[in-house]
Amino acid sequence: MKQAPFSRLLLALGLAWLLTNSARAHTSSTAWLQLVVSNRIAGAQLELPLRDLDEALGLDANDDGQLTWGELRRRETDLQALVQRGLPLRCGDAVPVWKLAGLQVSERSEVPCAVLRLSAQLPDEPTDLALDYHLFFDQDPLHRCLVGGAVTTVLSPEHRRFEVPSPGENGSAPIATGWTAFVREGVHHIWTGYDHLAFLLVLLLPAVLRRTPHGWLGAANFREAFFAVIKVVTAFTLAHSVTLALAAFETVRLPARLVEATIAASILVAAGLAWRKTQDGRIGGRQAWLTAFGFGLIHGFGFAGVLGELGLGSVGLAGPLLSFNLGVELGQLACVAVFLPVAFALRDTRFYRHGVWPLGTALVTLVAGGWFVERAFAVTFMPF
Amino acid sequence: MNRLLRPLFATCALALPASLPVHATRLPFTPPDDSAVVARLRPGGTGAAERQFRAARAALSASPTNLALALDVTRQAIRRARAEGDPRPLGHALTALGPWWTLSAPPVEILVLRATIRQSLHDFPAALADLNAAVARDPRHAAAWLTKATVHTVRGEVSEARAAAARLVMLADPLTAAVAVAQVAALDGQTAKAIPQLLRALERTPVTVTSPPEQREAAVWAGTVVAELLARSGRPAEAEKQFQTALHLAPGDPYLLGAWTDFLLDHQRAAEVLPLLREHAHVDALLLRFAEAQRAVSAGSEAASVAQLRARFDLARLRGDRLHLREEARFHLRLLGDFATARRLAEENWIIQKEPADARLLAETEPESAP
Repeated sequence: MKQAPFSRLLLALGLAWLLTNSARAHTSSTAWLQLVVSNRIAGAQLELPLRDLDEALGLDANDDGQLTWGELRRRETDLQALVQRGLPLRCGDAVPVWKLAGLQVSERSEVPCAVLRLSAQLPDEPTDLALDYHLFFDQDPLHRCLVGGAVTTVLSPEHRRFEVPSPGENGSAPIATGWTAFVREGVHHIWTGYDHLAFLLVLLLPAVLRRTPHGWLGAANFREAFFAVIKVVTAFTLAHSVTLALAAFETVRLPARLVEATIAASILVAAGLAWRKTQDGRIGGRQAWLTAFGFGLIHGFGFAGVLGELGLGSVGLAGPLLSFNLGVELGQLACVAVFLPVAFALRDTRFYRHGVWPLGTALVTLVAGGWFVERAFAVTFMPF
Repeated sequence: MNRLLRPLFATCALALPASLPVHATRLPFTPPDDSAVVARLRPGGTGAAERQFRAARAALSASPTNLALALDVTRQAIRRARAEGDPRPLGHALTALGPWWTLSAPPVEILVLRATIRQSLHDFPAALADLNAAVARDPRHAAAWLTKATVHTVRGEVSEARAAAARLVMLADPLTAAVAVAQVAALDGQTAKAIPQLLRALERTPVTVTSPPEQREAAVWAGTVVAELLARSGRPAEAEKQFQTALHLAPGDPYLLGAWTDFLLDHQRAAEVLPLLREHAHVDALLLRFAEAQRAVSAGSEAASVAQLRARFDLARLRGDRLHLREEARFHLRLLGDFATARRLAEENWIIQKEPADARLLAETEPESAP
């Protein structure tokens, strides 16, 4: 990197910092709830604004207006009692008891929150599972609780009951239930997670080609192409399974924005390496599968972010994790099963060698560049 | 090895800007130790006003149906919400009025405060119903007429607003009455007469920083209104003088800061806006102006503020709040350049609010004025 543009970049970053504000939004009180039901366990991740918790429980013990981690942590018993009063589960006539399995802090829409990870043992045959939400309504009727990720249900003083959809009901339910739901989520994620597909695509496009002194030619036989593809996909799978597990069980945690931006950058780098595929089939001097493995590690953290949104982190169960991963693999295999025969059939045509492969790679590079700028600088301009 | 490390290094270098903080959302984490501060609960500190408010709320929760205590807590909460541009105290006010909230004929004082809260939540029809009931029972209730004049003004109902303001001339102090009359005059463009009246009323009511808070609030409100009228009548020098006087009395008043920075933005003085609003970005309407100023000073530097605003509007929509239509329309118009969405929001807003600012938004999003 040359000296001058870099220092100019730094200057621009510095300027951007000077121009920023010192904001903490003044928003109405909002709680966030994610629910998972797996077999006979209900798991929840509940994020509550610390201001509301302080008002309800008087957390700020020394009343200096600054809430410390210690002041919050010491009140775990009261938090558990508050939750049992404030959002009791109903399962037929039974009232399962919430257990506080973990406590952390977060920031939601600029508001500092406590993160309560809860779990409850359900009766043998859980039927008509519902949740009655009353938290903070007595101190602030404008309080709202937003349940779910993609589809959101708003709980308010007028609408306090949340009926937990039972397994097998429509997949667009705001919570995931049962292991099939997690398989579905996995498939759904890989099919709609264009960045993961884009990454695979730039590695797979040249897999049915080989470089010769006479330029790019089609692979000699299906076996060659098939194994090239299998190696890439398997390496990618192994790598992201490892980091997905690490992240899901919170052994390792990376900032979401960093992960997302690096995923976009990985597509750019993989595309660059694919251009330089050498004559013996190596990409960037290494086998393509090494690239897939290296960057697969980062993509795993991305999958973990999705699982977090589904509320899996709250239960920390291996079952849903495996189901989700299985779904990702199935979704991936389905794409490969469609891609490979078509690409193999077209590999010797000019259309593929001079059209699909170079233009496809260029297009993906362009899109990934856009994603990277969006994610790294927190701006939005891309349509997807 | 080098050939493998280089792409990895390149990736890390590319991802570096991603570690710059954007405050909107932070994933759950465990703080390093017990002394780590996880939240600043009262940015203003625990001052006398905070202690007084807490004591009043504690007393009320001990006897929730005590009318005098409920009125006191509600008034304090409304004042705090207004002064800090913070919707949370409105929730406290709602709680205080809980026992009376659904009554059809509560005491007149409750009716007026209930209307004020409903007005703040942009439930104007319900606010007017309360106010009409209040003035029917107590035709000499100045606060009821004032709020009624304001709500009619917001809704662009000129004749009703004028009638309510006329009542105030007999019931309220000259300054308050003059502001109410001037606001109505601004609605149908009759500013020529309203401005000198309001200026005269301001001159006759000398207010300093040591005057009682109610007098200061009235003077700041009047100063803001007259400054806006002067600016709109093409008298920027006089407008600026009025703005400065009001700012001297209430440097942190959110409404005044919004009006003053709008004036600066309109007169290509965006650089002056940044230091004024840096500490007020928690108020959505002021973050909007801050972002506009950033963009005017250095295009592109508004990216983080735009992301913040977008997140706040998204959250409001998730919650089902409809308090931000005016700001959201302006956001799409001036910061995103999305005419179609701005137009739709401006029209939606026009159904609820019809103040000069709303009319201006509607005009600026006219299909003919698109670039």
